[in-house]
Amino acid sequence: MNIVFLLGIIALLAIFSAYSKKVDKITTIAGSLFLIAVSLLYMTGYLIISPYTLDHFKLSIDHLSGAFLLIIATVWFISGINTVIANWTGTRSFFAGLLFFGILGTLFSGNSITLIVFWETFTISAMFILGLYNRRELLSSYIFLSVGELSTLLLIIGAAVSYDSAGSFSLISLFENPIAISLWIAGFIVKAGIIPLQTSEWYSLGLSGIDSSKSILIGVLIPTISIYGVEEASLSALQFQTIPLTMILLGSISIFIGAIYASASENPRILAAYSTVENVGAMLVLTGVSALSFATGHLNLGNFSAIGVVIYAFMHGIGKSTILSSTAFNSDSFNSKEWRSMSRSGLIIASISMMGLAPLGGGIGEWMLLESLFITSLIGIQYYAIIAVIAGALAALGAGISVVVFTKFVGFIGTASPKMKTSPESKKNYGIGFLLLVLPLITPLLFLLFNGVSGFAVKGNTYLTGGEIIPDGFTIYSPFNNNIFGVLTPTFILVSLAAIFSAIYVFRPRNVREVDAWAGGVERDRTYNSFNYSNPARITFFRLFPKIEGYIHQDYPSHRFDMVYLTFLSIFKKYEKVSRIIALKLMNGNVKQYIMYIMATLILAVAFAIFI
Amino acid sequence: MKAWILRSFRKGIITTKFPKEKNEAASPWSTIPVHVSGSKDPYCPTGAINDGTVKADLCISCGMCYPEFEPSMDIRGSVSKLSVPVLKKSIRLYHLDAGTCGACNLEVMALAGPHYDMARLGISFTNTPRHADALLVTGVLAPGMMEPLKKAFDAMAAPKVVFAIGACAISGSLLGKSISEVLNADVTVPGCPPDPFAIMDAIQKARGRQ
Amino acid sequence: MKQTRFAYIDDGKSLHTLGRFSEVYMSQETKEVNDFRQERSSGKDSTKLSIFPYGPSSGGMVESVYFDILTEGEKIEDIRYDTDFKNRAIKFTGLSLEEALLRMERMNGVHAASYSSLFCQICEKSMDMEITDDIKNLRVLMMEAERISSHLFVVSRLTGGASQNIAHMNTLLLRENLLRAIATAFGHRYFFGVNRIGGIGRPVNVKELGEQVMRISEEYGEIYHTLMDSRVFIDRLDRSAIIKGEQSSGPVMRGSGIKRDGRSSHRYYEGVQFNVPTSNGGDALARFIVRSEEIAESASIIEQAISGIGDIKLDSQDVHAVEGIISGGFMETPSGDASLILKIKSGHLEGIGFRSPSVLNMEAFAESIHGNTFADFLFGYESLGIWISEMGDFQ
Repeated sequence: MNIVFLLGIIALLAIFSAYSKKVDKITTIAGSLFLIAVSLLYMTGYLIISPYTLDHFKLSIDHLSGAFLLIIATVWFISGINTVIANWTGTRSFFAGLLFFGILGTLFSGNSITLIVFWETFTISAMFILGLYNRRELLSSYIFLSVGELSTLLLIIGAAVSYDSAGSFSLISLFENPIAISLWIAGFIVKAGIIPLQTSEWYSLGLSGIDSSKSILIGVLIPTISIYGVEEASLSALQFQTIPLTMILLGSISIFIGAIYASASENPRILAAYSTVENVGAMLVLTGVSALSFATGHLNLGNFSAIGVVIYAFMHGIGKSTILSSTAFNSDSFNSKEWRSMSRSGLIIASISMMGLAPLGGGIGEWMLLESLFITSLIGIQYYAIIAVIAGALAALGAGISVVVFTKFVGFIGTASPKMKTSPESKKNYGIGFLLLVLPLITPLLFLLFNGVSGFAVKGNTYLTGGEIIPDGFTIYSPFNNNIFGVLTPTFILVSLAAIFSAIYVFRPRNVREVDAWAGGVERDRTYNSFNYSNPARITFFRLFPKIEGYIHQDYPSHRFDMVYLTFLSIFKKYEKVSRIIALKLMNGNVKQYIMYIMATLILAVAFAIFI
Repeated sequence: MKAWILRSFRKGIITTKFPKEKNEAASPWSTIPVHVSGSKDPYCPTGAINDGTVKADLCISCGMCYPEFEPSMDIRGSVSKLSVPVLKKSIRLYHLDAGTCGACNLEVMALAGPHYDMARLGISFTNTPRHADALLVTGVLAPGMMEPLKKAFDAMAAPKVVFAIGACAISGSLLGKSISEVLNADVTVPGCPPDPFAIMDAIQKARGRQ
Repeated sequence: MKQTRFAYIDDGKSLHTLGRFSEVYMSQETKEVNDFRQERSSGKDSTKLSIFPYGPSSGGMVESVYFDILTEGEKIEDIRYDTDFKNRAIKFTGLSLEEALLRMERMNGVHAASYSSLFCQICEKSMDMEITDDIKNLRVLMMEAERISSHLFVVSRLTGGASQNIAHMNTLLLRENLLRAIATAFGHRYFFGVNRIGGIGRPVNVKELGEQVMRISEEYGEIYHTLMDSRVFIDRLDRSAIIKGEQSSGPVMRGSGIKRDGRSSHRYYEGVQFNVPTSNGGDALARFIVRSEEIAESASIIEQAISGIGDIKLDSQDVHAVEGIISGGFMETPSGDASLILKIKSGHLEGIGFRSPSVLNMEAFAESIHGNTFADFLFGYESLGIWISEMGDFQ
């Protein structure tokens, strides 16, 4: 099968999806299931996908892209089965398709120029999706665009530097150039949305009124694909050890601050977004650890953390999509009937998974992160060990704070209200969250599936050994000088799941005191329960949140805003002012002026040719 | 500006020392009438008079029983079923008009005026029942106000005290139903309308300051 | 029955309507009752406006009333109101006149003297009772004292809203002094139980009242003039909720330059010398000026009335049965003119039609508030002296 067919099919589906809401749904589900099947068959070796080259346009697939194909297809599937779709329009649906097409293209791109083209495709699509609703959301889409373009700019400069020195667009030559590789990794990290550049899509997403299925596409797929870029680039450039070290440091700071921001936020979508910043940080640390391990010759650990990145991304994809499904309505209806009446169990499981507490999906990722940092601190060079300890401390702190974050999230929505009925339509939304219950038990299979993503040869069953209840090959252990450092057994998973869920069942809030909002004595369909705002840890973290109180623009009431976002906003506004001056004074469509420009350019070009 | 300050000084202190000393004034017929002479069962539109005694809860201060009965001038006619010592230092009141003629509202609001100055006793009004310790209900229970009344009570945090102020709120007087259909009043302040001193006295009783 | 712009009785065969400032009713042979109350619908596209719900039980309001304030943010585009929350639907029909009088007093307790006098006057007229000048003057005295107290309350709301705290407290002080003087003279702070059909119910002692009222009026005059020097206070009232035209009542109408006062044509006020203060602005400031000047006028009326009161005899006349008489009347309450039409049969009320001034003023307020800012809402509303209690239904 040629890889270009895959892209072609998705492009067709994107065009079809603009036809109607129903067709959109069908194409999304069919396309995603098809891609899941393709990725599974490819990774198990039953399907061979041949690359495609047309002049400078080059597509190819490897094991890492195959693994990420599974992740993005799963996320696309969840966005497809999401039942709450507000304001469906053909244009928006087309751009959603185009966004996915761009992400797929990025995944398959075989050289730098192809990657930049697809990278720009999904950036522009996401900007359109964000800004298509109404005028007030234009601002957030512009801010998204400004940060998105910063990333594209870094990629383009990197590609240009590499082309300048090696004379080709091939990725191999790019990864050998230290400046180019640094620029590329920086570009990917900017797009992934990391502290202090978290504003790119996250705040925009939180402040726009886009519906949940599109917010899944933007909020989950873009960081995932950026992490893919980071992993691919860093695993191909092992000779520069400062890069993974910087990544580990940046990532661990991101984990910590992202978690604090998430706990302080009062908008569900911004909460989810900052939680993503935290998770992106975790994946960045894992990527850095894997690159560092390969560079220092610890192949086992390198492979372990490389698989860790993919597993983390997979669990994050499912968990975060499920959580974003619940933010179908913007913050105005935060506690509204519609919002609360949706199926809760799946959402609660997803939240617990995102806390990283229980050995659910997210818990496995968290375990792998901390394990690899522990081992790095033991086997590495002294300085590396110190960095690993610092990163591990910050990561553990962040994971602890994320417990607060998701307790609050569940507190808002998970506490049942007897007044509200569940609509059968909305129940489907979080059903997918239950997947996170099953995944830990079949993680060994994922290990087998993702084995080899790093491209460094390793035996299939390095991390899997005999289980205690289930037969051979179901206990995962982390490698430390050919010994076992930490293990994750099916028995442990089952026992802790049983213990945690029975504890939740026993200590669940039975009589949640719920009061109506006082609105002069008449019914306003708003209720407060005793869990909503009564989280002392949240209030403490709220003090740490660097914020500005004020107006963002006329449509938003007085609120607390992220300082970084406001900085971007002011830069953007200044740019707008300057560009308006340029448009009015210099480029105002005056023919005389244009002729002057052309003549000036001509003179400059001639002068350039003569003197340089 | 100068005029205001001079005026303030000229006025001096006019605030009552009420709970410690006797009240300076009272609205005579808002107090319970007592038998003076003649028939012990004159005509009473609400049937409050029975063999020379007057049921305070039913009396609407109409004066139909004159001249057999005359006002007692006793403003301490309110009955408090409880006393909440927690509220001794400070009590915050939310006033809810369930269907008044307006007079009770003004008598409740008069407490904040210079003659009564309830703030000196640690009494103050709030604008939301969420912050209130006590709910002052005035007026008959109009059908439309049934739900707001319930909601206001639910919105309050414990300990909560319900005052039924005026004959309408206590018994429904001539015009409708009493608030007892929705809430049980902890404190009843008879009178139509009750004198501000009577209301103040009732608040002090509920706080256990008397 | 809902209140409309006219008081009417519909007895199944014909419709008897009573115009404003009129004691003579018109009869039409029609079975349809036209609801004269305006249907208010917002011309603006309300989807683009935010609705600011206010009430029914909110801090800052004297009575329970509900407003939907349609706004684009700062400016009020339109207002919808609902006064039915505290609608008591007082039952009058089938009651004896004495019982009905007690309910009439409690229709609006703050204007009890005006309403009870109006009711008594119509009943007495229908039964051809002769009322002595003493009683007439006493009723004028009660109504004027009530007017001062009511106006002082409105002024205290306005000054309180504008944070003119000394003026606010001083007006409250004057009002309380007046109420205490009234209580000493009449036995009740709100005149409950004083009026009886054909006379009064208990002895009154008005000898000292005149002097006290004069003192209060003079003192208020000082406050009024000091307030009129306050730019801050004037700015708050100026140009807020401008009401023009006759579709309003009382001080509101006189504040828009129309010199029309129910008292000028009322038989109780025959021989009483008084001016009708008017102002031209039509805004809250104009209404404040009218009210303030009316306080002085009322004080002078009270002086004249007291001089006309001799020895009041208590032996009231018996209510005698009359057959099927329809009789109407009007009275200038502190808020404006009210019309009442009664159908009396054998000493009992068979039908009642009523139109309170607040019904007119509320409509006028909702019309006028368009274009004002949120801060003007309070001044617009409070300057009208609307009483929700008198806007209720009656049976």
